[in-house]
Amino acid sequence: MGQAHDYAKVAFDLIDDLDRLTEVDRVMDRVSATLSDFGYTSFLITGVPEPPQRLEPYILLNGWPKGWTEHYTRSNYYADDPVAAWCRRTVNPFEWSQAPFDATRSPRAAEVMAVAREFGLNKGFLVPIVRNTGFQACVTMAGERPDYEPRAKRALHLVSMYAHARCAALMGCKSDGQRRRVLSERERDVLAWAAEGKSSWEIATILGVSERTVNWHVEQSKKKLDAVTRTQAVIKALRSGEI
Amino acid sequence: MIHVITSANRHLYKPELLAHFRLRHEIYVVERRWTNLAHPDGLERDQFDNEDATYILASENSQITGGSRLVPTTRPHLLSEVFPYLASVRGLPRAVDIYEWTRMFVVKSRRDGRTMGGQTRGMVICGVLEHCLDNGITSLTALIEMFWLPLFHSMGWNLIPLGLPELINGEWSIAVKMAIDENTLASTRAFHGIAGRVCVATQRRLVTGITA
Repeated sequence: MGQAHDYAKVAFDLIDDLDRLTEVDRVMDRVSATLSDFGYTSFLITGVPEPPQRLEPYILLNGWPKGWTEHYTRSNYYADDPVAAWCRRTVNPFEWSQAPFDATRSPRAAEVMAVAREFGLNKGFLVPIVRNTGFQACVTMAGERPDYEPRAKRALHLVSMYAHARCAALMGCKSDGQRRRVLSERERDVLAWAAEGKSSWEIATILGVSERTVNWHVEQSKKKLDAVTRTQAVIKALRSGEI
Repeated sequence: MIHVITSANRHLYKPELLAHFRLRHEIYVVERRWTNLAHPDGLERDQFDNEDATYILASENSQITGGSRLVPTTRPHLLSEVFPYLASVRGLPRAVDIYEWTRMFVVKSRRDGRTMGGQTRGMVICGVLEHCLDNGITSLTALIEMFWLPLFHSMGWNLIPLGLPELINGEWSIAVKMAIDENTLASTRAFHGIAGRVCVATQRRLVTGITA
Protein backbone atom coordinates (compact mmCIF):
# COMPACT_ATOMS: atom_id res chain seq x y z
CA MET A 1 0.00 0.00 0.00
CA GLY A 2 1.41 3.36 -1.00
CA GLN A 3 2.13 6.29 1.24
CA ALA A 4 -0.94 8.14 0.03
CA HIS A 5 -3.23 5.41 1.36
CA ASP A 6 -5.11 6.08 4.53
CA TYR A 7 -5.37 2.80 6.45
CA ALA A 8 -8.20 4.06 8.64
CA LYS A 9 -10.25 5.18 5.66
CA VAL A 10 -9.86 1.81 3.92
CA ALA A 11 -10.96 0.04 7.09
CA PHE A 12 -13.91 2.33 7.81
CA ASP A 13 -15.12 2.18 4.20
CA LEU A 14 -15.18 -1.60 4.37
CA ILE A 15 -17.05 -1.59 7.68
CA ASP A 16 -19.67 0.78 6.25
CA ASP A 17 -20.07 -1.38 3.14
CA LEU A 18 -20.34 -4.69 5.03
CA ASP A 19 -23.65 -3.65 6.59
CA ARG A 20 -25.15 -3.27 3.14
CA LEU A 21 -23.93 -6.62 1.78
CA THR A 22 -26.46 -9.39 2.15
CA GLU A 23 -24.77 -12.12 0.14
CA VAL A 24 -21.76 -14.06 1.32
CA ASP A 25 -20.17 -13.96 -2.15
CA ARG A 26 -20.24 -10.17 -2.12
CA VAL A 27 -18.69 -10.12 1.35
CA MET A 28 -15.98 -12.43 0.02
CA ASP A 29 -15.23 -10.08 -2.89
CA ARG A 30 -15.27 -6.95 -0.76
CA VAL A 31 -13.02 -8.40 1.95
CA SER A 32 -10.63 -9.82 -0.68
CA ALA A 33 -10.31 -6.41 -2.31
CA THR A 34 -9.55 -4.68 1.00
CA LEU A 35 -7.02 -7.27 2.14
CA SER A 36 -5.20 -7.11 -1.19
CA ASP A 37 -4.83 -3.36 -0.58
CA PHE A 38 -2.75 -4.38 2.43
CA GLY A 39 -0.72 -6.89 0.41
CA TYR A 40 -2.59 -10.02 1.46
CA THR A 41 -3.54 -12.16 -1.53
CA SER A 42 -5.53 -14.81 0.33
CA PHE A 43 -7.40 -15.28 3.59
CA LEU A 44 -9.59 -17.57 5.67
CA ILE A 45 -12.40 -16.79 8.12
CA THR A 46 -13.06 -19.75 10.36
CA GLY A 47 -13.95 -21.14 13.77
CA VAL A 48 -10.95 -22.56 15.62
CA PRO A 49 -12.00 -25.73 17.48
CA GLU A 50 -9.78 -27.67 19.86
CA PRO A 51 -8.10 -30.66 18.18
CA PRO A 52 -8.82 -33.54 17.70
CA GLN A 53 -11.80 -31.72 16.21
CA ARG A 54 -11.13 -30.85 12.60
CA LEU A 55 -11.02 -27.35 11.21
CA GLU A 56 -12.95 -27.88 7.99
CA PRO A 57 -16.54 -27.93 9.35
CA TYR A 58 -15.91 -24.55 10.97
CA ILE A 59 -14.74 -22.66 7.90
CA LEU A 60 -16.95 -19.65 7.09
CA LEU A 61 -15.15 -18.04 4.15
CA ASN A 62 -12.35 -19.80 2.32
CA GLY A 63 -10.11 -17.53 0.30
CA TRP A 64 -7.00 -19.76 0.37
CA PRO A 65 -5.10 -20.59 -2.82
CA LYS A 66 -6.39 -23.55 -4.83
CA GLY A 67 -5.32 -26.88 -3.40
CA TRP A 68 -4.11 -25.66 -0.03
CA THR A 69 -7.20 -26.55 2.01
CA GLU A 70 -7.35 -29.96 0.33
CA HIS A 71 -3.68 -30.63 1.10
CA TYR A 72 -4.06 -29.26 4.64
CA THR A 73 -7.05 -31.54 5.28
CA ARG A 74 -5.56 -34.63 3.66
CA SER A 75 -2.31 -34.23 5.61
CA ASN A 76 -4.26 -33.57 8.82
CA TYR A 77 -2.18 -30.44 9.45
CA TYR A 78 -4.65 -28.77 11.77
CA ALA A 79 -3.57 -30.65 14.91
CA ASP A 80 0.05 -29.54 14.33
CA ASP A 81 -0.48 -26.08 12.88
CA PRO A 82 1.50 -23.71 15.17
CA VAL A 83 -0.46 -20.67 13.98
CA ALA A 84 -3.80 -22.29 14.88
CA ALA A 85 -2.35 -23.42 18.21
CA TRP A 86 -1.22 -19.89 19.09
CA CYS A 87 -4.58 -18.49 18.00
CA ARG A 88 -6.25 -20.64 20.64
CA ARG A 89 -4.01 -19.11 23.34
CA THR A 90 -4.25 -15.37 22.68
CA VAL A 91 -6.73 -12.57 22.07
CA ASN A 92 -4.15 -10.34 20.37
CA PRO A 93 -3.43 -10.29 16.62
CA PHE A 94 -0.04 -11.67 15.60
CA GLU A 95 2.22 -12.29 12.61
CA TRP A 96 2.40 -15.97 11.73
CA SER A 97 6.14 -15.94 12.37
CA GLN A 98 5.39 -15.02 16.00
CA ALA A 99 3.54 -18.29 16.62
CA PRO A 100 6.04 -20.26 18.70
CA PHE A 101 7.07 -23.83 17.91
CA ASP A 102 10.14 -25.98 18.38
CA ALA A 103 11.16 -27.34 14.97
CA THR A 104 13.19 -30.19 16.45
CA ARG A 105 10.45 -31.29 18.82
CA SER A 106 7.60 -30.76 16.41
CA PRO A 107 8.84 -31.34 12.86
CA ARG A 108 5.21 -31.50 11.74
CA ALA A 109 4.71 -27.86 12.77
CA ALA A 110 7.74 -26.89 10.69
CA GLU A 111 6.34 -28.91 7.79
CA VAL A 112 2.99 -27.08 7.92
CA MET A 113 4.75 -23.72 7.68
CA ALA A 114 7.14 -24.85 4.94
CA VAL A 115 4.41 -26.33 2.74
CA ALA A 116 2.26 -23.23 3.30
CA ARG A 117 5.10 -21.16 1.81
CA GLU A 118 5.09 -23.42 -1.25
CA PHE A 119 1.44 -22.45 -1.73
CA GLY A 120 2.35 -18.76 -1.68
CA LEU A 121 1.35 -18.31 1.97
CA ASN A 122 4.65 -16.69 2.70
CA LYS A 123 3.95 -14.15 5.42
CA GLY A 124 0.76 -14.07 7.40
CA PHE A 125 -1.23 -12.18 9.99
CA LEU A 126 -3.97 -13.55 12.23
CA VAL A 127 -6.70 -11.82 14.20
CA PRO A 128 -8.24 -14.04 16.93
CA ILE A 129 -11.92 -13.58 17.67
CA VAL A 130 -13.22 -14.76 21.04
CA ARG A 131 -16.87 -15.66 20.99
CA ASN A 132 -19.21 -15.34 23.93
CA THR A 133 -19.35 -19.08 24.45
CA GLY A 134 -15.58 -19.19 24.84
CA PHE A 135 -15.41 -20.60 21.33
CA GLN A 136 -12.57 -19.13 19.33
CA ALA A 137 -12.69 -17.97 15.73
CA CYS A 138 -10.23 -16.04 13.58
CA VAL A 139 -9.49 -14.18 10.40
CA THR A 140 -6.12 -15.25 9.03
CA MET A 141 -4.48 -13.79 5.92
CA ALA A 142 -1.30 -14.22 3.93
CA GLY A 143 0.68 -12.86 1.02
CA GLU A 144 4.13 -12.60 -0.52
CA ARG A 145 4.96 -9.18 0.87
CA PRO A 146 2.19 -7.88 3.13
CA ASP A 147 2.16 -4.50 4.80
CA TYR A 148 3.35 -4.96 8.40
CA GLU A 149 3.03 -1.25 9.33
CA PRO A 150 1.61 -0.98 12.87
CA ARG A 151 -1.18 1.25 11.61
CA ALA A 152 -2.04 -1.27 8.90
CA LYS A 153 -2.26 -4.02 11.53
CA ARG A 154 -4.58 -1.93 13.69
CA ALA A 155 -6.82 -1.31 10.68
CA LEU A 156 -6.82 -5.04 9.87
CA HIS A 157 -7.65 -5.90 13.48
CA LEU A 158 -10.80 -3.82 13.15
CA VAL A 159 -11.64 -5.01 9.64
CA SER A 160 -11.33 -8.66 10.68
CA MET A 161 -13.73 -8.30 13.63
CA TYR A 162 -16.39 -6.79 11.39
CA ALA A 163 -15.80 -9.16 8.48
CA HIS A 164 -16.17 -12.15 10.79
CA ALA A 165 -19.31 -10.70 12.40
CA ARG A 166 -20.91 -10.14 9.00
CA CYS A 167 -20.13 -13.66 7.82
CA ALA A 168 -21.36 -15.16 11.08
CA ALA A 169 -24.60 -13.19 10.82
CA LEU A 170 -25.17 -14.15 7.18
CA MET A 171 -24.25 -17.79 7.64
CA GLY A 172 -26.19 -18.46 10.82
CA CYS A 173 -23.10 -18.33 12.93
CA LYS A 174 -21.56 -21.71 12.21
CA SER A 175 -18.37 -20.72 14.00
CA ASP A 176 -20.26 -19.94 17.17
CA GLY A 177 -22.17 -23.17 17.23
CA GLN A 178 -25.71 -22.10 17.92
CA ARG A 179 -25.54 -18.45 18.69
CA ARG A 180 -28.97 -18.37 20.25
CA ARG A 181 -29.34 -20.81 23.05
CA VAL A 182 -32.08 -23.31 22.51
CA LEU A 183 -31.95 -25.21 25.80
CA SER A 184 -33.56 -24.07 29.04
CA GLU A 185 -31.39 -23.62 32.12
CA ARG A 186 -32.71 -26.92 33.59
CA GLU A 187 -32.00 -28.80 30.37
CA ARG A 188 -28.45 -27.41 30.35
CA ASP A 189 -27.98 -28.48 33.99
CA VAL A 190 -29.16 -32.00 33.23
CA LEU A 191 -26.93 -32.37 30.14
CA ALA A 192 -23.96 -30.88 31.97
CA TRP A 193 -24.26 -33.60 34.63
CA ALA A 194 -24.81 -36.24 31.94
CA ALA A 195 -21.57 -35.03 30.36
CA GLU A 196 -19.89 -35.75 33.72
CA GLY A 197 -21.03 -39.36 33.37
CA LYS A 198 -23.91 -39.17 35.87
CA SER A 199 -26.94 -41.43 35.46
CA SER A 200 -30.50 -40.12 35.50
CA TRP A 201 -30.92 -41.32 39.06
CA GLU A 202 -27.73 -39.54 40.16
CA ILE A 203 -28.71 -36.33 38.37
CA ALA A 204 -32.15 -36.51 39.98
CA THR A 205 -30.51 -36.75 43.41
CA ILE A 206 -28.10 -33.88 42.71
CA LEU A 207 -30.79 -31.54 41.39
CA GLY A 208 -33.41 -32.61 43.89
CA VAL A 209 -36.00 -33.63 41.31
CA SER A 210 -37.48 -36.96 40.26
CA GLU A 211 -35.74 -39.31 37.86
CA ARG A 212 -38.76 -38.97 35.58
CA THR A 213 -38.27 -35.21 35.42
CA VAL A 214 -34.60 -35.68 34.52
CA ASN A 215 -35.54 -38.07 31.72
CA TRP A 216 -38.14 -35.64 30.49
CA HIS A 217 -35.53 -32.85 30.32
CA VAL A 218 -33.21 -35.18 28.42
CA GLU A 219 -35.96 -36.02 25.93
CA GLN A 220 -36.75 -32.32 25.44
CA SER A 221 -33.04 -31.56 24.90
CA LYS A 222 -32.76 -34.37 22.34
CA LYS A 223 -35.69 -32.92 20.42
CA LYS A 224 -34.29 -29.41 20.50
CA LEU A 225 -30.80 -30.49 19.49
CA ASP A 226 -32.03 -32.93 16.89
CA ALA A 227 -30.20 -35.77 18.60
CA VAL A 228 -31.12 -39.43 18.56
CA THR A 229 -29.31 -40.57 21.69
CA ARG A 230 -28.43 -39.02 25.04
CA THR A 231 -24.73 -39.14 24.14
CA GLN A 232 -25.33 -37.34 20.88
CA ALA A 233 -27.33 -34.67 22.72
CA VAL A 234 -24.44 -34.17 25.17
CA ILE A 235 -21.94 -33.88 22.32
CA LYS A 236 -24.11 -31.44 20.40
CA ALA A 237 -24.69 -29.35 23.52
CA LEU A 238 -20.94 -29.25 24.22
CA ARG A 239 -20.08 -28.33 20.65
CA SER A 240 -22.59 -25.53 20.47
CA GLY A 241 -21.47 -24.11 23.81
CA GLU A 242 -24.82 -24.78 25.48
CA ILE A 243 -22.99 -26.51 28.32
CA MET B 1 -32.64 -7.32 39.92
CA ILE B 2 -31.31 -4.05 38.53
CA HIS B 3 -31.38 -0.71 40.33
CA VAL B 4 -30.93 2.60 38.53
CA ILE B 5 -29.34 5.25 40.72
CA THR B 6 -29.39 8.89 39.67
CA SER B 7 -28.92 12.17 41.51
CA ALA B 8 -32.67 12.05 42.23
CA ASN B 9 -32.65 8.86 44.31
CA ARG B 10 -29.00 8.66 45.34
CA HIS B 11 -29.76 9.40 49.01
CA LEU B 12 -31.62 6.09 49.20
CA TYR B 13 -28.67 4.09 47.94
CA LYS B 14 -25.73 5.33 50.03
CA PRO B 15 -24.59 1.91 51.33
CA GLU B 16 -25.09 0.27 47.92
CA LEU B 17 -23.04 2.95 46.16
CA LEU B 18 -20.27 2.66 48.72
CA ALA B 19 -20.21 -1.13 48.32
CA HIS B 20 -20.04 -0.62 44.56
CA PHE B 21 -17.03 1.75 44.79
CA ARG B 22 -15.32 -0.87 46.97
CA LEU B 23 -16.08 -3.59 44.39
CA ARG B 24 -14.73 -1.40 41.62
CA HIS B 25 -11.47 -1.04 43.58
CA GLU B 26 -11.38 -4.83 43.92
CA ILE B 27 -11.92 -5.34 40.19
CA TYR B 28 -10.11 -2.45 38.50
CA VAL B 29 -7.23 -1.72 40.88
CA VAL B 30 -6.51 -5.11 42.46
CA GLU B 31 -7.57 -7.55 39.76
CA ARG B 32 -7.00 -5.61 36.53
CA ARG B 33 -4.13 -3.52 37.94
CA TRP B 34 -5.29 -0.14 36.69
CA THR B 35 -3.07 1.24 39.42
CA ASN B 36 -3.56 4.88 38.44
CA LEU B 37 -7.08 4.49 39.87
CA ALA B 38 -5.78 3.39 43.29
CA HIS B 39 -6.85 5.43 46.29
CA PRO B 40 -5.87 4.78 49.94
CA ASP B 41 -9.53 4.63 51.04
CA GLY B 42 -9.98 1.44 49.00
CA LEU B 43 -12.74 3.02 46.93
CA GLU B 44 -12.31 3.37 43.18
CA ARG B 45 -13.77 6.74 42.21
CA ASP B 46 -12.70 9.12 39.47
CA GLN B 47 -13.60 12.65 38.37
CA PHE B 48 -16.64 11.35 36.47
CA ASP B 49 -18.25 9.89 39.59
CA ASN B 50 -20.07 13.15 40.16
CA GLU B 51 -23.71 14.16 40.44
CA ASP B 52 -24.21 13.74 36.68
CA ALA B 53 -23.38 10.03 36.83
CA THR B 54 -26.06 7.35 36.65
CA TYR B 55 -25.31 3.92 38.12
CA ILE B 56 -26.88 0.67 37.00
CA LEU B 57 -26.38 -1.90 39.77
CA ALA B 58 -27.25 -5.60 39.79
CA SER B 59 -28.07 -7.17 43.14
CA GLU B 60 -28.71 -10.69 44.32
CA ASN B 61 -29.60 -11.52 47.93
CA SER B 62 -28.71 -7.95 48.99
CA GLN B 63 -25.25 -8.24 47.45
CA ILE B 64 -24.02 -6.11 44.54
CA THR B 65 -23.08 -8.53 41.76
CA GLY B 66 -22.41 -6.18 38.87
CA GLY B 67 -22.79 -2.68 37.58
CA SER B 68 -22.16 0.08 35.08
CA ARG B 69 -21.93 3.85 34.91
CA LEU B 70 -23.48 6.30 32.45
CA VAL B 71 -22.22 9.87 32.04
CA PRO B 72 -23.79 12.54 29.79
CA THR B 73 -21.58 13.30 26.78
CA THR B 74 -22.54 16.99 27.05
CA ARG B 75 -20.43 17.03 30.24
CA PRO B 76 -16.74 16.14 30.61
CA HIS B 77 -16.38 12.34 30.26
CA LEU B 78 -13.65 9.74 29.82
CA LEU B 79 -13.47 9.90 26.01
CA SER B 80 -13.61 13.71 25.90
CA GLU B 81 -11.08 14.35 28.69
CA VAL B 82 -8.70 11.38 28.75
CA PHE B 83 -8.87 9.55 25.41
CA PRO B 84 -10.04 12.05 22.76
CA TYR B 85 -7.46 10.64 20.30
CA LEU B 86 -9.39 7.35 20.20
CA ALA B 87 -12.12 9.14 18.23
CA SER B 88 -9.67 10.66 15.76
CA VAL B 89 -11.25 9.15 12.63
CA ARG B 90 -14.96 9.83 13.07
CA GLY B 91 -14.87 12.44 15.84
CA LEU B 92 -16.51 12.25 19.25
CA PRO B 93 -20.31 12.46 19.15
CA ARG B 94 -21.71 14.66 21.94
CA ALA B 95 -25.43 15.32 22.42
CA VAL B 96 -28.10 15.31 25.12
CA ASP B 97 -29.36 11.93 23.93
CA ILE B 98 -25.90 10.32 23.90
CA TYR B 99 -24.37 8.96 27.12
CA GLU B 100 -20.98 7.45 27.74
CA TRP B 101 -21.02 3.91 29.15
CA THR B 102 -18.12 3.01 31.47
CA ARG B 103 -17.17 0.66 34.33
CA MET B 104 -19.14 -2.36 33.22
CA PHE B 105 -18.30 -5.10 35.74
CA VAL B 106 -19.49 -8.42 37.09
CA VAL B 107 -18.13 -9.70 40.43
CA LYS B 108 -15.80 -12.66 40.23
CA SER B 109 -18.21 -15.14 41.82
CA ARG B 110 -20.73 -14.42 39.09
CA ARG B 111 -18.27 -14.72 36.23
CA ASP B 112 -17.55 -18.44 36.59
CA GLY B 113 -20.05 -21.01 35.42
CA ARG B 114 -21.50 -20.46 32.05
CA THR B 115 -25.07 -19.65 32.89
CA MET B 116 -24.66 -17.39 35.91
CA GLY B 117 -21.71 -15.30 34.73
CA GLY B 118 -23.38 -14.54 31.45
CA GLN B 119 -26.67 -14.02 33.19
CA THR B 120 -25.45 -11.24 35.52
CA ARG B 121 -23.69 -9.52 32.64
CA GLY B 122 -26.83 -9.84 30.55
CA MET B 123 -28.90 -8.31 33.36
CA VAL B 124 -26.56 -5.31 33.62
CA ILE B 125 -26.55 -4.75 29.86
CA CYS B 126 -30.36 -5.04 29.69
CA GLY B 127 -30.57 -2.64 32.66
CA VAL B 128 -28.47 -0.09 30.80
CA LEU B 129 -30.66 -0.46 27.71
CA GLU B 130 -33.94 -0.22 29.63
CA HIS B 131 -32.79 2.91 31.42
CA CYS B 132 -31.66 4.52 28.14
CA LEU B 133 -34.87 3.70 26.28
CA ASP B 134 -36.96 4.94 29.23
CA ASN B 135 -35.10 8.25 29.15
CA GLY B 136 -34.80 8.99 25.45
CA ILE B 137 -31.12 8.11 25.18
CA THR B 138 -30.59 6.95 21.59
CA SER B 139 -26.86 6.20 21.55
CA LEU B 140 -24.06 5.23 23.87
CA THR B 141 -20.37 5.85 23.43
CA ALA B 142 -17.83 3.60 25.07
CA LEU B 143 -14.17 2.70 25.27
CA ILE B 144 -14.09 -1.09 25.03
CA GLU B 145 -11.46 -3.77 24.67
CA MET B 146 -11.43 -5.25 21.18
CA PHE B 147 -12.23 -8.71 22.53
CA TRP B 148 -15.69 -7.47 23.53
CA LEU B 149 -16.64 -6.66 19.94
CA PRO B 150 -17.73 -10.21 19.02
CA LEU B 151 -20.06 -10.36 22.04
CA PHE B 152 -21.80 -7.13 21.01
CA HIS B 153 -21.97 -8.32 17.42
CA SER B 154 -23.57 -11.58 18.58
CA MET B 155 -26.11 -9.63 20.65
CA GLY B 156 -27.16 -7.84 17.47
CA TRP B 157 -25.75 -4.42 18.37
CA ASN B 158 -24.75 -1.80 15.83
CA LEU B 159 -21.27 -0.62 16.83
CA ILE B 160 -19.70 2.23 14.90
CA PRO B 161 -15.96 2.57 15.49
CA LEU B 162 -14.72 6.13 16.08
CA GLY B 163 -11.03 5.45 15.52
CA LEU B 164 -8.45 2.69 15.09
CA PRO B 165 -7.66 0.33 17.99
CA GLU B 166 -5.04 1.56 20.51
CA LEU B 167 -3.19 -0.28 23.27
CA ILE B 168 -4.60 0.90 26.61
CA ASN B 169 -3.51 -0.74 29.87
CA GLY B 170 -2.02 -3.52 27.76
CA GLU B 171 -5.24 -4.33 25.90
CA TRP B 172 -6.23 -3.40 22.35
CA SER B 173 -9.12 -1.03 22.85
CA ILE B 174 -11.43 1.04 20.71
CA ALA B 175 -13.91 3.89 21.04
CA VAL B 176 -17.34 3.08 19.62
CA LYS B 177 -20.74 4.66 19.22
CA MET B 178 -23.61 2.26 19.85
CA ALA B 179 -26.97 3.17 18.36
CA ILE B 180 -29.69 1.60 20.52
CA ASP B 181 -33.42 1.02 20.16
CA GLU B 182 -36.15 -1.46 21.13
CA ASN B 183 -34.67 -4.02 18.73
CA THR B 184 -31.33 -3.84 20.53
CA LEU B 185 -33.09 -4.56 23.83
CA ALA B 186 -35.13 -7.41 22.32
CA SER B 187 -32.13 -9.14 20.73
CA THR B 188 -30.02 -8.64 23.88
CA ARG B 189 -32.77 -10.18 26.03
CA ALA B 190 -33.12 -13.09 23.60
CA PHE B 191 -29.36 -13.65 23.54
CA HIS B 192 -29.23 -13.94 27.34
CA GLY B 193 -32.54 -15.71 27.78
CA ILE B 194 -33.98 -12.80 29.79
CA ALA B 195 -37.77 -12.79 29.54
CA GLY B 196 -38.76 -9.29 30.61
CA ARG B 197 -37.90 -6.11 32.41
CA VAL B 198 -34.88 -6.25 34.76
CA CYS B 199 -34.97 -2.73 36.25
CA VAL B 200 -36.99 -2.34 39.43
CA ALA B 201 -39.06 0.77 40.06
CA THR B 202 -37.43 3.03 42.62
CA GLN B 203 -40.54 5.09 43.32
CA ARG B 204 -41.63 2.82 46.13
CA ARG B 205 -38.33 3.33 47.90
CA LEU B 206 -38.50 7.05 47.30
CA VAL B 207 -41.87 7.19 49.03
CA THR B 208 -40.73 5.20 52.07
CA GLY B 209 -37.76 7.55 52.34
CA ILE B 210 -39.99 10.53 53.00
CA THR B 211 -41.17 10.94 56.59
CA ALA B 212 -44.60 12.47 57.04
